[in-house]
Amino acid sequence: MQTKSYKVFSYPYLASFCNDYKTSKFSLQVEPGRKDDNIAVRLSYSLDNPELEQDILDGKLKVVVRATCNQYSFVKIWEFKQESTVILECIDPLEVGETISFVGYLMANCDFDLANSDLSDEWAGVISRVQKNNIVGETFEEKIFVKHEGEGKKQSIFNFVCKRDMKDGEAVQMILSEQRIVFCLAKKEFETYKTIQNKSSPIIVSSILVPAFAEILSKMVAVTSPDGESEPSQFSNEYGQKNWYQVLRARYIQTFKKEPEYGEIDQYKAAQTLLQNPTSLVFRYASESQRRSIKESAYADD
Amino acid sequence: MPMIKYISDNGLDTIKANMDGFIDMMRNNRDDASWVPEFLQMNPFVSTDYLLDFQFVMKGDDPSKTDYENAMLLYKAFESVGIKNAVIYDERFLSGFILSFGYKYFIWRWGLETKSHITDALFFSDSKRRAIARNSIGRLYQWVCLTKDETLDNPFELTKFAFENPKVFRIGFYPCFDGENVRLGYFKALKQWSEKGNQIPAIDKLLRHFTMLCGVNVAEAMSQQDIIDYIMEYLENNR
Repeated sequence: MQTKSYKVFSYPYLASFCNDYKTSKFSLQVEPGRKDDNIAVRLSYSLDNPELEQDILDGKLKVVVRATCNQYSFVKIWEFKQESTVILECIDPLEVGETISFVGYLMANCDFDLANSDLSDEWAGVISRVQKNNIVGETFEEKIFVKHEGEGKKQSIFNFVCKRDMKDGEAVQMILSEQRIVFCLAKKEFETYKTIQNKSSPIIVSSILVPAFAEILSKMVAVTSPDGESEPSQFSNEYGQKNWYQVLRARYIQTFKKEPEYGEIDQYKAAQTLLQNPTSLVFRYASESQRRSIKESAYADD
Repeated sequence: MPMIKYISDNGLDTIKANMDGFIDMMRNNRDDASWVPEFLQMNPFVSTDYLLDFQFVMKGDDPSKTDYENAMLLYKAFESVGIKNAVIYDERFLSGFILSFGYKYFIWRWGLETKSHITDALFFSDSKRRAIARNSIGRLYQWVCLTKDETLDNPFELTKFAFENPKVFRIGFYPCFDGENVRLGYFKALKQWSEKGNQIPAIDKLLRHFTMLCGVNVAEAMSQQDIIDYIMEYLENNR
């Protein structure tokens, strides 16, 4: 889901979120790779506006790329050489978190008058004064994901823990405020969970995880604002940065080729699919148990 | 030499689900964290390859006065064993480090009065960025990283200035100051301003003013001198 941008400029701005230019496009391509222990990135941009291209060749504009990992306060800036649209750079994976974002910018090298023949009717014929260091365009944000092997790897997006102050038989509690979804069990239930977690996992998954995931998926669905625009739900705003949310969302998109925020797929069914249909497994498990008990009672009769 | 240990994911989840009891146990056991495995009924400590001879400085009546000294010790210690940001800025590492190397220091520096205070300073209770800026160890290390300037004769000249005026570290919450030229320009401008005998101004207002520049410029691609000039101009106009 693309969120709205509220940037306002006093001159025409070339970006996907505004329509100051009629047809011109400015985009960034990021191709990640590896070089020794580093992340290697091949960055290239395309710009299909001849006048802006000429401004770059004349030295009035330059193209820069900003790579950021907000979590770790990581920022790198690279500048494309005047006549090149490709640069190769390296990033130490131990300096960044799980995601690096890249945005390309058209940046003024000096004060100059910006005029263009592809401007929308609103700006047609307008000559705007741009100051040194102003940005006059930006690309869509591209992201790459960094895998930290070993110690940095989280194995699951949910976890069961023993909560000491819960009474036996008390309802299971779900905590969403951490990086994983945490289910709290009373001491006795936790001990039982530990005993049966491997052999009866479909039962645990279908009785605890399926309804929990269905509820979470239903809360991820976007809401409609008073002006008719679709915007993230309060739930997404609150938990969107959590590791479990991002993993669940990515898995959902990978499985259904749709974003969970649109809520087009029945959430209960989607939860079962994402958890590999544990409910069906429970029925199979129950049916096998029943068959086994009939067989055992037949032997007992013999 | 003692080994740095981190806290496992399961350990962190269990601690946080039992936070009230955990804090009560801290209040009753102020010397070390050896009670933790028994309390959790599991061993949350996981060994690492990092061996470190390290002790926090605890002297004087005002624990905050030791921040600079401890930050420098931490920075040099982590640098000496080659631990990088992806490891340091991880909740499992930082909370493990506090519980194994800084348990007494943590209680001395932060006290055990308020639950939210303990949760924020010992664990991550917010987005990673904010959590690092609030974590008792994460912030000390981060503050040195933010202010170190290899181009100066003394790379830690700005670090000392900033620790004497800790409110300037509020930039840790603002992503637009992440670029090296931007944050060093910011610290240099404030240092110059202070050396002229002026008071450090209300930082939040200055930061808000600066974010306006970042809305229309890529500040990280500007020269450090441009950043200094921009901030000095604001300071002059808002005396």
